[in-house]
Amino acid sequence: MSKDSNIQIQINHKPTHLPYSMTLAQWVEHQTLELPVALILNNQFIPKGEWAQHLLTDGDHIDLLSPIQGG
Amino acid sequence: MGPSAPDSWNLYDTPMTSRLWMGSSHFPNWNVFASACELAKPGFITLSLRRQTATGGQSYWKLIRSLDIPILPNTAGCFSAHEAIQLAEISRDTFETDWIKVEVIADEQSLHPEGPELIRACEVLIQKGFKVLPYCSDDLSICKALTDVGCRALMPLGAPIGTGLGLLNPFNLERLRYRFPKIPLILDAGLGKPSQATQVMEMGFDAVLLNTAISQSVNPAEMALAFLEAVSAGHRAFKAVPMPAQPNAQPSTPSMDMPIGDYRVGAELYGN
Repeated sequence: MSKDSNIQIQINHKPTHLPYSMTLAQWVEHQTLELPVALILNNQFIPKGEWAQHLLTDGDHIDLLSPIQGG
Repeated sequence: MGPSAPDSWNLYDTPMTSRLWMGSSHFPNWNVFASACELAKPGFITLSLRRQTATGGQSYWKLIRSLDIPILPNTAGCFSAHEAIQLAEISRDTFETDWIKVEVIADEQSLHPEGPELIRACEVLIQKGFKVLPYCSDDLSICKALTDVGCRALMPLGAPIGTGLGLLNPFNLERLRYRFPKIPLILDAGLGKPSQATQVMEMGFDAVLLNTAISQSVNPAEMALAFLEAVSAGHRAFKAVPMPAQPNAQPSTPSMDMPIGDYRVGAELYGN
C-alpha cells in the first residue's frame, strides 16, 4: 500500500483527505460502518462486489447512501 | 379453518401471514416506532436510501435489525423509470433483497403515481428478477398494464400519500378486486382511520400499508394496534361473506304470535 497524503476526495460534497492510497473497499473498512451503504463513485454506482477493484484517486467524489425511513 | 386460526397468503410465492405493513417515517422517536411495530407485527417495514453522512441512519438501521421484520425498500422520490430502476438496483445490492416497492411519481404536489414510466420501470425490474410491488393509481387500465408486464401484486392508493382521506374511490378499488381475483392487492397510501382499513379489507384486499395514519396519531402504538384489529376484522368479514344489501326492511324478530298489538285484539278493545 503506497503512502500518499495528497489524495483529497469528496464524500457527499465534503472534502476529505485519505491517509494513504486505498480502494473503495479499504475506505469503507476504514470507516467502521455499522450499517449497509451504497457508494456512487463519480456519478457511477459501484456494487459492493466491485469495491475492491476501484482505487481512489485525487479528486474522486463519493456519494454515500445509507438507510433512511420511508413509507 | 377455525375462528381463531391464522391464515396465510402468497406474494411472489412467499407465504405471508401479516396483513399490515408499516412505513417508518414521521414517528416522534424510534422508541415509539419500535412499540408500534411490536404491537402491529407488520409483514414489511418500508425504507429507502438517501445521501447521508457515514453515521447517518446508524441508529435507525440498528433498530430495524433488532425488530427482525422484513424490509421493503422503496424508490420514493423517483420521477422516471430510469431513476426508479437505478435506485432499485442500488437498493438490492445494499439491502440484499429482491423485494422493491416501485414508486414513480408524476406530480410533485399530489405525489400521484406515474402511468407509463411506472409500467416501464416494473417491466425492466421484473426482467431483472425483482419482486416488484408497484405503487399505482386505482385506474384499471394502468393496473392491467402492470399485470401484463409481469407484476404479480398491485399497490393501488386509497388517497394521496399522507392525506388520511381514506378511500376516495371505493368503486374503483372494488372493481380491481373483481377484475384481478388472483393478484394480491395491497392498499397503499391515504388511509387515516382503522375503519377505512376495515372497509378495504372487506372488499377482499390482501393487506394494507400504513405510515402516517399511525405515526401522526397522538398515540402511535395504540393506533397500530387499532389498525391491526381493523385489518383483521375486515379480512374476517370478507371471508365470512357479508349479506347482500337490500332496500326493504326485514324484521329480525319474528312477527308471528305477537302478544300485543294484534289487529284482532285492537278491534275488540276499541269496538271497531
